[in-house]
Amino acid sequence: MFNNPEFVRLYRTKLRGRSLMMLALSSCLIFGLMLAVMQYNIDNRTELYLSYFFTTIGLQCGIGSLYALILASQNITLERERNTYDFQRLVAMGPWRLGFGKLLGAACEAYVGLAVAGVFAFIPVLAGVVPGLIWFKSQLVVLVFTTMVSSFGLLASSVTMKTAHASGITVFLMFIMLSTIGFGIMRSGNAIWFSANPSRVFAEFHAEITQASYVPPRFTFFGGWIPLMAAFLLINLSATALFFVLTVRRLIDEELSYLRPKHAVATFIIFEVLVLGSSWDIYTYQSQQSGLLATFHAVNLVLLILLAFGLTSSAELLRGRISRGGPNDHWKITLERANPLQDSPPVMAMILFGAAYAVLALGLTLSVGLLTGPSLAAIVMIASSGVATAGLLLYTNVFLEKGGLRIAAVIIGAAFAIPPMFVSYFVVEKITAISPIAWLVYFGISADMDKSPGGYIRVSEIPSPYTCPGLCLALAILLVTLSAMRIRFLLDMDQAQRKREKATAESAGKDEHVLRVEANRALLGAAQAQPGEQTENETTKT
Amino acid sequence: MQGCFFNSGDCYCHEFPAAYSDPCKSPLSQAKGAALIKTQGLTRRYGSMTAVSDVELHVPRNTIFGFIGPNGAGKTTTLRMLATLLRPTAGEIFIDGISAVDDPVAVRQRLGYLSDNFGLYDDLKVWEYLDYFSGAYHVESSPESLDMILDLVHLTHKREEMVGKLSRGMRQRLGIARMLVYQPKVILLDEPANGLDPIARIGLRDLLKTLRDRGTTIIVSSHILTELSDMCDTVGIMELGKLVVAGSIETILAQTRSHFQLILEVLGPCEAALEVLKGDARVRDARIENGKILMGFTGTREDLPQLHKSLALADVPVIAFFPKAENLEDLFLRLSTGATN
Repeated sequence: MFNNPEFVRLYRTKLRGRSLMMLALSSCLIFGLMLAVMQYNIDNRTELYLSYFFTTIGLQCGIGSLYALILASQNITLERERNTYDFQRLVAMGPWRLGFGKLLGAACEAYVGLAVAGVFAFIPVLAGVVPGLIWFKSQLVVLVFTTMVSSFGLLASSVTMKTAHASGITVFLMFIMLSTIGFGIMRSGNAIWFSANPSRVFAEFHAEITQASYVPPRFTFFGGWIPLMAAFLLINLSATALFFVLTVRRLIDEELSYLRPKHAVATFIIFEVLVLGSSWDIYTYQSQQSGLLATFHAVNLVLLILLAFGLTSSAELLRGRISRGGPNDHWKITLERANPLQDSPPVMAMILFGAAYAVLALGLTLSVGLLTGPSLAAIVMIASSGVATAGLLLYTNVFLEKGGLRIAAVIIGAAFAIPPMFVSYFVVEKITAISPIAWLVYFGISADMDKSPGGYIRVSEIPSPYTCPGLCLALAILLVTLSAMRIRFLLDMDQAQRKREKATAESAGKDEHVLRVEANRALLGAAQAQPGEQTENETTKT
Repeated sequence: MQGCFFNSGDCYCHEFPAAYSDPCKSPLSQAKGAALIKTQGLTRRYGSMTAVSDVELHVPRNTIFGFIGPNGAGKTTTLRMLATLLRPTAGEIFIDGISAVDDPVAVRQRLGYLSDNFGLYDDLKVWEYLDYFSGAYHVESSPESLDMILDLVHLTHKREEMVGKLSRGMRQRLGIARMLVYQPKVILLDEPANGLDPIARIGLRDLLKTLRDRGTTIIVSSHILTELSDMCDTVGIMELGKLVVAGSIETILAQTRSHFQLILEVLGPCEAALEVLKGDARVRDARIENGKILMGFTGTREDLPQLHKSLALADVPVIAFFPKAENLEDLFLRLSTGATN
């Protein structure tokens, strides 16, 4: 594991002699001084060591993970800026091993700091205030969380060209992390997602030591329960794996899609298991069924759209696939699941994911006994949205042949954000005709779509509940068909060009340079055929 | 479909039957010997711009192939496609018989690539840098094996030095030494002589020749034509993304030359000699420059004694009569327009 050349290189680069000593000494100084200050201020021995323990692991997790995030987010962008990235992509050890070395080594300074802090965090254990098992679990939480954050940092580094941009993404993540700490220590929520936050796990450790009972130490899952620690590890390790896979795909080739279909399948399964498992008891709670069904549809809408983005390859790669296509291969290319270029358009994959989602959603709808027309329309709407996104991405890629992913992201972002922003409150019910999110809000109130929020909007003013699902389905069909037609156009263009080139080397309309180049070729050919005998015509052209 | 094959310094151009999907499986190629690097219809587009168009490249084993062309001609894009860093929009690349499009990982083990502005890890020691690439290419390295490589590139005395402290020429040599660690069959060098002083350039040229003699096939792109002509067995001229011509310098010079450039030196005034020459239909554009007569001659090499004889019969006191030597620069200027994408 540590015999990875990339890891060895990184620690040789970063932890050479003086750097290592400085890092270790500064860490010792911070945590030693902190203990000294606390000893001066806190008289109660138990309270002192308890406070010191949680302050230390809190700093480990907070500062350590942020430091790791910053370091990891600079790794690949710095390679690019120093012109060493090409060599890394070419090395024979392969992208997975290279990525793993980066994951271990990119933030090795942060891990040294964590190790030193871990030693100081052990002092309360030696004092007999904190159990050794709690110390071990806290260090595991810190390690797993830091690795997850490093993995995200590497991903941010792999998708951007400049270190400054990667730092921007990581700063954005920092805001999210800081804002979720509050959720983590909230004592009322018991959804499994909160357990992904280390502060929630630390709160449980505190409760365990002080014998308090305000933090539930486990979460319900498919009618049973799982310990808080297991939930933490499940979610954080899954996220680490997902970020790692995305990073490795960038290391393989930046023109490839972010996810291979098999990775997307794993993501889909883990996500659905977590969503269904953690909400299982709530779904069976009679009074909130339509609302929770709407929530299930909404999270799947987001998941399917993200999967469509993740499965879309670059416009250049798609153009390469089209260049290798034969006449009338447009539908084959549009709907293929695999091709020799290691990537294929996302349409077929999204149709299959849409079908998988539909099966799950139908099962859930039947299990809660809400089989209505709108509830079936909701399934069609969400599945179609995924396919429509894939179609839009494919169309922008084949139409623009460059930067399609970014433009499609803007279009989809606008499609979701603009209707709620610009339509006034008095016509809010009209948005349900064009906005799946607004539609789901109404569906959450009533599975028959016959009630409105507050009751002051007449039901007769609500557009037909089938308008938005129909629109999504029509968009999906339209965009996929447009993409196929555009691919056909490009295939025809390629064919025509090949024919033209084959027909004549010196056709009318070519510019002077082309004539000159081809005259050189002709001259070379003529010289080979009859050495020493050059025609007047050829000589003049040359 | 057109392709060029090179064998023993000769260039063979040939129109392939459409049935041959891989030109090197054609009877001609089998007769002339297989190429280590082969491209077929290699094309790369960036949006609407075509950077490389329909390049047919065939480089035999153990040779140095020079890529010439103005900036923006598509040399770097071609090299990056050969190095599997870019996927071709269309066409195929075969390196040592393996498709670089279908199996880039297998191809990467066989090639080394040094880009124009390549970087090194300045925070590593010289031996650590090589050790990193040993591990990355699954090569067992020992201090002795690393010393041998450092000796080859004349960096043994810098073994414990930090890479960041090396001079430009030393960094270039270390970049090449990196590839010697795993001994690739193919080395691709993009403008390797940029920024090197004359002595470092000579050192680089000698090093590449040594590698060629040891069985490595090298493709090198450069603007410094005299340098390429000194070391390259074959050259290719690229312009506007197209390979205009390829082959050994002598062969291309001979084949693309429409007429000889002759220099005639006579005793005394040149006018009489000029009159005689103008009477010969094969002589073109005869003129006096610096007391010598320069002219084009459309006849063959065998016709030259005849011309000389006619001068002698007209009592022209000939001191010197010889064809003007052409070099790679002349060839490049003759075939290239300098146009760029």
